[in-house]
Amino acid sequence: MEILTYNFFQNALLIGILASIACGIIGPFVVAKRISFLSGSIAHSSFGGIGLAYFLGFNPLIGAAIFSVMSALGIGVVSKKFKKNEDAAIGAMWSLGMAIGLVFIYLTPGYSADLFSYLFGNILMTSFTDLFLAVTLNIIIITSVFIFYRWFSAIIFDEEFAEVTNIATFPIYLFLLCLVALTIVILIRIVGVILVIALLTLPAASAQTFNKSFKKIIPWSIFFGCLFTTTGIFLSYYLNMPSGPMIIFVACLVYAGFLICDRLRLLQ
Amino acid sequence: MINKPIITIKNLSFAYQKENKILKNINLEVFENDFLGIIGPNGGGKTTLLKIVLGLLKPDKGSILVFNKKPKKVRDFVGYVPQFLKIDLDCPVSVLDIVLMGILSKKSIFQKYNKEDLKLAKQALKFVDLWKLKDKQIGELSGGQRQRVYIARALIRDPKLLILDEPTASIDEKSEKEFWELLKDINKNSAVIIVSHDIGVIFKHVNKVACLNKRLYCHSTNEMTNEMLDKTYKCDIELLGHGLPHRVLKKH
Repeated sequence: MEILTYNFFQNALLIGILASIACGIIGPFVVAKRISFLSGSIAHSSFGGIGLAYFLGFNPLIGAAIFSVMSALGIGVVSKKFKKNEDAAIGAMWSLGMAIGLVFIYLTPGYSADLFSYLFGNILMTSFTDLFLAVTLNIIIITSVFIFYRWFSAIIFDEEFAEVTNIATFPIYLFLLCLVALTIVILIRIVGVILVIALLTLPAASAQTFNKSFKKIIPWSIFFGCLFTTTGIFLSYYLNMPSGPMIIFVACLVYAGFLICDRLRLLQ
Repeated sequence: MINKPIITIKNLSFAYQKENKILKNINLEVFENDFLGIIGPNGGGKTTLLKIVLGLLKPDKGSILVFNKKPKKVRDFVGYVPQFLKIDLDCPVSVLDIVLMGILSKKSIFQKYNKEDLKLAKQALKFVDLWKLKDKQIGELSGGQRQRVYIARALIRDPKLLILDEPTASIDEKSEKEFWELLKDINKNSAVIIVSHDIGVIFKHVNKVACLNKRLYCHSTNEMTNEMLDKTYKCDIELLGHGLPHRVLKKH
């Protein structure tokens, strides 16, 4: 346990917990609204921002934040206004963001050594700036959900009914997608744009197998998030493996366990 | 009491795609104590007409006034019970949460639900006899119970017009009987419009029937003798199968 005294390891655990709070709060809404694929698209298109930041020389996570919020709004509009082509259009945004990112990185002189860490995450490279950013985004996410909780559940449960009672469903939906985008930015540091979607949805999906209200699912998914990231980080240290995939392995394993238990319970 | 029309539809047409009109030249008046049943084959435009009344769709031609205003402006007076299949039963919300969603639009962002709101919710849930199940998650209820939750969610808004889309699909016979009793009670204070392709039962309960298959033909069940009702009943079933319900209505 000597490892716990190292500063980089403490930072890693800390950002793991901060990310778990964010995805524990937003994940349940993503799972209940069934927008995992859409969130995956937001995550991948944020890579465009990472490329842009490389090219212009500022913090890639800031670039990711700008791009993911913009693509959340874009995808939100596309998914509602072009309902018929929603699936293909979301897929297109998914690749478009990645393509933009790759072009910028190609145009940037020199070798981008830590690029890999944005694709697959590297929790051991967490800087103070990353922690500060994660805390700020968490404050925004917690406050927003605290205020808009009832509106989010209304549009998730029955959007049409909300609409005919004059609730501004579309702006609320877009706002929810923006919060998803901000959550993704925190998660990129940990598992990278490619693996984000598992960490965003699996804690909530696990919690939903044995809880029946958002108020219970949220604390449980925060707990599962912490469990997945912390276990993953320790595994990564002891097995000398990259942290992102280890976290995803733990998350998928636990979720599979819950799915099987749920199935068995139904069969009884 | 003067019976005023609460819905006035004149020469209304609607098409999702050009040249394929789903509603053709509809004329309809609904009065404040009406209990109107809209029947017709699938694809005949029943749900589309409801969506226009609710202000979710705009007519291409013609006019619609609800309480003398555009549909979107009067949504506070309208209660809506949607089709069964549209709702995700895994959604982690309780019965009480759902009923309170009926008055969410009346709250500002920082306004919590107060005692008065909870009282209204209790009243609505007691009316549909579900107060004891208020903490259950929606997926844990039976079909008939779920239907009553959606009715309570509409009633908490204290509507002057209640609109139900295919409410009797997938509920059992006993629940259906209770359901019609409930609607009869509601009809004492509010107009009720119910859409159904289940024409067998609807004639026994409503006081007006509109047959909709792109065109709409409306008449009052009170004016008909039992014999006529019998005829309509049989003819309708037969003719609905042929997709030509209007032929029957011309006879009346």
